[in-house]
Amino acid sequence: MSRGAGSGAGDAMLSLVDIRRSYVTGPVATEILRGVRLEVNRGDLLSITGPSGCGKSTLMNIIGLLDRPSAGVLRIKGQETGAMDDRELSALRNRSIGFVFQSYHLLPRFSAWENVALPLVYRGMTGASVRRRALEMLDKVGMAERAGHRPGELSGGQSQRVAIARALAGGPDILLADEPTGALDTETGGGIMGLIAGLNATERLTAVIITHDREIARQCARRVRMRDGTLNEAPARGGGSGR
Amino acid sequence: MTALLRANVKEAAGSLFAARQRSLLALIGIAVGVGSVIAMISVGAIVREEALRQFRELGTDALSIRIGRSAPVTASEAFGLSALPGIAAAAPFMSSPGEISLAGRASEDVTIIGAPAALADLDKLRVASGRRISDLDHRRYFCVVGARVAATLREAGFERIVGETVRMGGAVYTVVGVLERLPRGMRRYDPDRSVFIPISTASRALPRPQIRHVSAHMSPGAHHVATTREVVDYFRRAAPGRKVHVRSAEQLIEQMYKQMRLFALLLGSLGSISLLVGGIGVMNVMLVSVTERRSEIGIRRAFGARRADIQSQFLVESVVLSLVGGLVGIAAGIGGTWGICSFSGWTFDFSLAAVGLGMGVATASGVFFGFYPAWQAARLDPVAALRGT
Repeated sequence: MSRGAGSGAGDAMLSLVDIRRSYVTGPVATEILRGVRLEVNRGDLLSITGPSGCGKSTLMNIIGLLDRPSAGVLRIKGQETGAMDDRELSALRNRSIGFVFQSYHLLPRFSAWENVALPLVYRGMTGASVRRRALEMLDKVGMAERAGHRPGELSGGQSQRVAIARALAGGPDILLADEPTGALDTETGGGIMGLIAGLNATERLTAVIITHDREIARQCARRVRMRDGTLNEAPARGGGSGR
Repeated sequence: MTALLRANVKEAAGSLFAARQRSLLALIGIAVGVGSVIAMISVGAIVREEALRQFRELGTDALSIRIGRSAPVTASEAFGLSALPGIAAAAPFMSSPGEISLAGRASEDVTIIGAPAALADLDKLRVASGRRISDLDHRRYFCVVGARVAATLREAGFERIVGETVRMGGAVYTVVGVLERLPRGMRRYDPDRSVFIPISTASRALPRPQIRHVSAHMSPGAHHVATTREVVDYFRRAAPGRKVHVRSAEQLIEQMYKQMRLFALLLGSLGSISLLVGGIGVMNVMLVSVTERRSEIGIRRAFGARRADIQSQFLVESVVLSLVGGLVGIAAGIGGTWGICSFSGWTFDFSLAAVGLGMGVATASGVFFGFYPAWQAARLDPVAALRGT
């Protein structure tokens, strides 16, 4: 794979070289990822599409440092992650990755702002600054007025906005979204995508979005398609140099 | 880190409250365990203190001698005891069960003690009102009543006990004194439920006027084992084969400590079994909690929680659960101790050390039984945890 359009080599947020992942069940080894290459640069808005079972989620888990590849090299901001232990991986995940899940995954007993504060807490931040930062993030996604509400009191779209605020609270290098609009109706989903695209445009937020929704994928400047454990990148919009 | 700990405690309280039915069962086990440990420690200390207080009353040099029924001793033989080098003073006394009645309006079963004046000194029988029996009361029908006996007479409507006449075994006695309320201690009789008459009167009035008891004090520096042997030898000189039982304060203290250790062992095993049961309950609650909160664990891991963070979160939770059990147990232990004390007539007391011990035991069992579930939580695969499978 070539680099994304219009970015210098020093801005590589994410680099995957020949990533493989296989699962062994009994005597059979199933290879889900068969040599994935991908480079994501600062400010990229990239979608990954593909049929279900093609390995999208496995890839996302590996990028998000929740899973380790069986082979290959994964670098985040130039840091080789293969030899890292749990402590280092957790710290890197906390600093560099902001997850958004299809089913929001908010903690039900926590209020909206407490959910948003989660990455800050694991960073060791304490006191009033945590709350201030969380409220700032909620404001950014238009949820400031719901800061004290629990997830059960929020609609799907509102929950996903809170989840995005949480993903952004730690100032991650990459927003990693797995079907962020999958549980929402088209209009609400469009709003969520608009929020991510807007942050990408205004703050150069780097985002990788896994989706099966063509409409969502179309709003991304870079689109890669996954099939049988490998990636193919569509030509970049506006005649860029990407494949 | 402390903010994280605080958040963990808050979260722990919330999640335990959410599963309060299950938590309650585990909590009861811990509470019973901690309660019995506390009761064990407290009752042990209280009994020890109580016994020492009683011995302090009579002095640790007190000896109580009982002679077998078959060969009672003579008065001169008994008084001759004080000639032994190990004995400083001795007072023989007769003892007989009897009934006291006051003008037919009140009656009570008592122990009638026929004793020389010296017994009051040796057995520290202090009078609350009136006077003691004196050796000048030779063969007279005077008596001194114990506090409990006096109370019964008073309930029968007699304001003034001293000066009243009472009837015992067909004879009429004039009450000359009332004793203070006294603990039994190592005396062979309960002073509160006894009536004291001159020994010379007793030898005529009692149905079986035998001297089978001697209260004595050892000489300063005398050892109780050696003195006991001296006493036994002395009484057997006149009648070989005579049964002589000597009880010394020191011997009693030794016995009491032995008994205390047995007691401690008993409560200790009850405590440890309950703690084990409670601990397994805690472990069960935590294992279920880990299973139910897999996706929460996954979410926390996704946002940067290390395995160690997850482990400590669940450890805090089991410690919080155990500590709540511990607090209930401390209350139960103190309450139980109070109950035992009021039942046994001991002075209630509890030490902060017992409370500290209770908290310590609870914390330790929380950590011990929470460790495995917490470890399970920490080693969950975050991907599987997020899927909730």
